[in-house]
Amino acid sequence: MPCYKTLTMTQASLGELPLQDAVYVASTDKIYGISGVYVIQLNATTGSVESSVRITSPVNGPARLCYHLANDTLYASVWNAPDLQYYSLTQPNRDIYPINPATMTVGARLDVPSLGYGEDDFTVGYFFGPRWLGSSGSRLFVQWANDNMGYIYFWFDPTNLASKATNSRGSSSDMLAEQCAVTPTQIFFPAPDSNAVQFAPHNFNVNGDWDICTGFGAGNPISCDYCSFDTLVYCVDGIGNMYRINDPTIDDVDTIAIPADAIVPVPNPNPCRIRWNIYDGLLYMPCMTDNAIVMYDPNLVAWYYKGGFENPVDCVFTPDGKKFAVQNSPEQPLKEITPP
Amino acid sequence: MNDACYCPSNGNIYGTSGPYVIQCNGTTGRREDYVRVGSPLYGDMRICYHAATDKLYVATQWQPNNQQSAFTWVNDQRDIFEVALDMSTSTGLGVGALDLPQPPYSGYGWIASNSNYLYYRIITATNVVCVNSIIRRDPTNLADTSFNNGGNVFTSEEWAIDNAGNRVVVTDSNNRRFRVGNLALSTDSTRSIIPYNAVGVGFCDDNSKFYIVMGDTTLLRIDDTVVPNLTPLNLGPVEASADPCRVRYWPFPGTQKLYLPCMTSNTVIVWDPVTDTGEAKTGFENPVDVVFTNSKAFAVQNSAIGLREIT
Repeated sequence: MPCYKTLTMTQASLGELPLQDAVYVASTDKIYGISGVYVIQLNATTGSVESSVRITSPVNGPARLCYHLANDTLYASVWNAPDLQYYSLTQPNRDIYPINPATMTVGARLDVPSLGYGEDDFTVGYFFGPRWLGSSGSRLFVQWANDNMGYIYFWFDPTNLASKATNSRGSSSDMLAEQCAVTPTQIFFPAPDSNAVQFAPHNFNVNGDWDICTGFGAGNPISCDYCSFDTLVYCVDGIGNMYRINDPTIDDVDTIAIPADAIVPVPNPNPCRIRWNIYDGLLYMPCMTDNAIVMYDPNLVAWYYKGGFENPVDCVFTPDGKKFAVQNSPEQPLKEITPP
Repeated sequence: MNDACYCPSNGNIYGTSGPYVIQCNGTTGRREDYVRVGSPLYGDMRICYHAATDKLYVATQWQPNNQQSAFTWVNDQRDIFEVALDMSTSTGLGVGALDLPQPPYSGYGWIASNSNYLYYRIITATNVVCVNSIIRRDPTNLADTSFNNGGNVFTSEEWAIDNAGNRVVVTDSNNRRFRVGNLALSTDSTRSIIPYNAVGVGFCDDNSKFYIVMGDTTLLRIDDTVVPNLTPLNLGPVEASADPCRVRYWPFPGTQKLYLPCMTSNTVIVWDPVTDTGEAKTGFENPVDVVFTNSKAFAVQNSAIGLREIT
C-alpha cells in the first residue's frame, strides 16, 4: 500500500495553499481540508494548520473530500481535466483515495476506473474523474465527470467494491453540480444546465429511479444541502438566489433573493455552496466576491451577515459551536465566523 | 504557485496561486504581497512580465467543467488582466470579448511576452475537443492582432521562441506533434513527432535547439524543426520517475542548463545540453516550474511554499 510522509507545516508556511473543501471529523476532533493535491489537517478549535499529506501525483484539478463515518475514513477524489495543465500526462490519478484521519496516511487508490460502468468507459482519457463525494450509511455517492461536460452518478460501498457492479448508470446529461444534498432517504443532484434538481432514493440503480424538480426561475441551482430543521432541501445558484424545495415531486420551489444588508456590503452575493449547520440552526452561504458569509435562519426567517473574509468558498462547523469560513486565498485557510 | 515570472525592473518574482498574484522577493523567494485579480474565478492563471509596458499580465480561465462553472459566463473574468508592479490591478483588457465572443469557451492556457506583443493561447471547449488558437496582441493597441488558429486539439503547456526571433514552437500533445511558425503568426506548420506526446517546450540558446518534455522520462531534442529531426534523451538514469511538464533554459553565464521540474519525485533535473547529462536536485515539494533571476534559480512549487531556491 503506497503511503506518503506526513509533513509538518505552520500556519504561515501554508499561506499559499488555498483551501477548496473541508470537513469535520469527530473521531479525531479535527478539520480536514483540501488544497491542491494535499489533504490538510487543521485544529478544530483554532483553525490552525497541523499537518498535511499529498494524495497523489501528478494531478491537476480540484480535489474533493468527504468523511465516511462507516469506516472512519476520509475519501479524497482527484481528477485530471482535458486542457488543464499536465493533461497529456498519463492519467492514473483520476480516482478516489482513502486517508486515515488519525495517521494522515494515504491508502491505495480504489481504482474506480478499472471497474467501468456499462457503456461508460472510465479508462479512456477524456473521462475527467470524480467531482463530488458524499457519504451516508455504507454508501459513498460519486459525481463523475465525463467527456461531454456531463456527469455520471453512482454509489458504492468503499469496503466492498463489488457493490458497484449492482449499479447501473445513474444519470447524466450536462449536470454541473458543485454540491449535492443527502437527505435521510434521498439524494439531490443539482442539474444547472437543465435548470433543475434531480433526486433519487439512496439505493438508486437505474435511470427510472430518478425524478426531476424544476421551477427554479432564472437561476440555475449549482449546490444544495439538506436542512434538518424543516426537512427541506435548499439550493443556491451563485447569482444571488437561494431556493427552498418545498415539494420536489410537484416542482414546488420558492425563490428567495439574498437581500442586501445595511452594514455588511454584499452587492454581488454569489455563494457557490450552501451548508446547513445543525449546531446553530443556520444555513451558511459563502460569497467569494463580497468576501462575506451570508446566513439564513429558516426558523425565524431572518438573515445575518458577516464580512472580513478573503475569497470564502465553503464553511465547516464543529459540535462545540465553532464555525469557519473555508478560504480559497493566500490568507489563512480557515477563518472563524464570529457572531454577527 | 503554478506559474511565475521574473521582473528585472524591480528584481521581484511574481507568481500565481488560484485567483491571486503573489509577489515574492527575488533574492530570498519569500512572499511579500498578494492581490486578487478577479472574482469569482476558477481555473489556473498564467502570468508574464511585459517589458514594453513594465507591467505584469495575467491570463485567466474558466474550465467549463470546473467547480462553480455554472455561474453566468462573465467575459471579464476570462480575460487578460494588467497588474502594475505596485500590485494594483485594473479591469481586464477586454480581449475575452474580442477573442471569444460567446460560450462555450474557457479562457487562456498560457501567456508570454516578446517585444511589443503578448502571445497567448485561447481555449474553446466544445465537448471532447478543446480547440485552441494562438493570438498576438499589443496590449496598448488591441486592434493590432495576429491570429493563428490551431484548428484542432491544441493543448500545450508552454511555448518557446528561438533566440533569433524567427521561430515559435508550440506543443500539440493530443496530436503528438508540434507547430512551428513565425513571430507574426503569419506562418504555421505542423510537425508530427509520433509517438511522442509533447507537453512543454523550451529553447536552448547554446545549441539553438528546442527541447520538448512530455511528462515522462523522455526529453526530446528537436535538431531540425523542418524535417523534423529528433533526438530522444533519457532522463530515467537521472530520475526514474521523472515527469516534467515544463522545461526552462537559464542563459546566465556559466550556468547554461536546462531545468526540468518533476512533480512526483519532488526533484528538479538540471540538464547539461553540451554533455547530455543531468543531475536531479532534491528537496522540493511538488515543483511544477522553474523561474530565474539574474543570479538565482527557483523551483515554483505547487505546494505550501511557492518558491524554493535551486542551489
